Amino acid sequence: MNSPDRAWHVLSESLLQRIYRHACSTYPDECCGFVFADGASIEGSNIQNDLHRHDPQVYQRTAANGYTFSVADTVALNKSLRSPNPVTVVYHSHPDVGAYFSDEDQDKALFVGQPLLPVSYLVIDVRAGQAHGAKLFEWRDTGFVCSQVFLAKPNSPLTTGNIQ
Amino acid sequence: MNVVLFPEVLAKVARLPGFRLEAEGQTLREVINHLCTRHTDLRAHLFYENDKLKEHFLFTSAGELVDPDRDLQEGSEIDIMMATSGGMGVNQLSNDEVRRYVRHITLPEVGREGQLRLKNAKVLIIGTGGLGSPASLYLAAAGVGTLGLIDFDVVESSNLQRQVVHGISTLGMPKVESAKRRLQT
Repeated sequence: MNSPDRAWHVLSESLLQRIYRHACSTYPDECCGFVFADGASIEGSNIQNDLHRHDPQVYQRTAANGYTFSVADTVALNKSLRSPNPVTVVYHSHPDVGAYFSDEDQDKALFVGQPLLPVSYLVIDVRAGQAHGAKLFEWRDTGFVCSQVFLAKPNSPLTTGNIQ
Repeated sequence: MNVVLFPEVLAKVARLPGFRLEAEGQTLREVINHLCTRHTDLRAHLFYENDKLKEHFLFTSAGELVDPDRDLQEGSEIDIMMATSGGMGVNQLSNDEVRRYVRHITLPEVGREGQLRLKNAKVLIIGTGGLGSPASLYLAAAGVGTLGLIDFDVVESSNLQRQVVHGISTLGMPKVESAKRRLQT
């Protein structure tokens, strides 16, 4: 399992800005992506709408309230875990409801009560297409706890209209 | 002989002897069944009771999804992964919903909690005629989250003077489908 310090140090201000831009670009849908130990990041493909179209009974959520990484992303993420540069942070956005680790987030991050992946989870708070910050959640013995709160800088041009 | 790689957590909870196991089989399903025979704790994790593989497992080989019933290449290495997913809690009101239902929410007798109960409510409407039409419209507008509709009939022009959920554009259509279209707009 990652140490809290490891995940925290990798989230530089410039990386957070990139993640915020990603979250704004997919608004009002959720975005997802991951960050490697060396600070590199990948913007994932959220295939939740495809899954919902394929079988709305099994996949009741759409990208408006859920995310699932594509197969290619899942392969890359899992391969990294056996490499010297593993993924340490998985991120996704919550449009218009605030950054928190939802029951769904927790449910999908666990398997029979054990963390599915040795990663921390960053949840981005996007409201009306603008990123307001993010919270980092980490596994501590019996549950996920918020270990860090990031606030987007005031007047930061992190809106869908300002994506370059 | 094929090789199957398991996620660490699955190997742990299924009490497998390692993360990398060898198994025989022409197809992925045969390979997995072979492993489940040898490691009995595995089956309940990978399969539903009807023997359907659970959706949250991805079975890949060389980075591609593997069809459970297609022949594998000899000596395949199968990597079992678990879907990485999540999402916001649906058991709360979004900002858009708060704006939409603010006239309810400001009523002390309703509030956010009451509006959330409406969102989580399920109502079955039997008949989308003279009574079911306005009832379904008002319940949908009020924010009831799930409406069930039952009606055997089709929309006729003589219905339209009172069955207000239907319209000219849905004449001849089953009333359930007609009402669904109107309620989802």
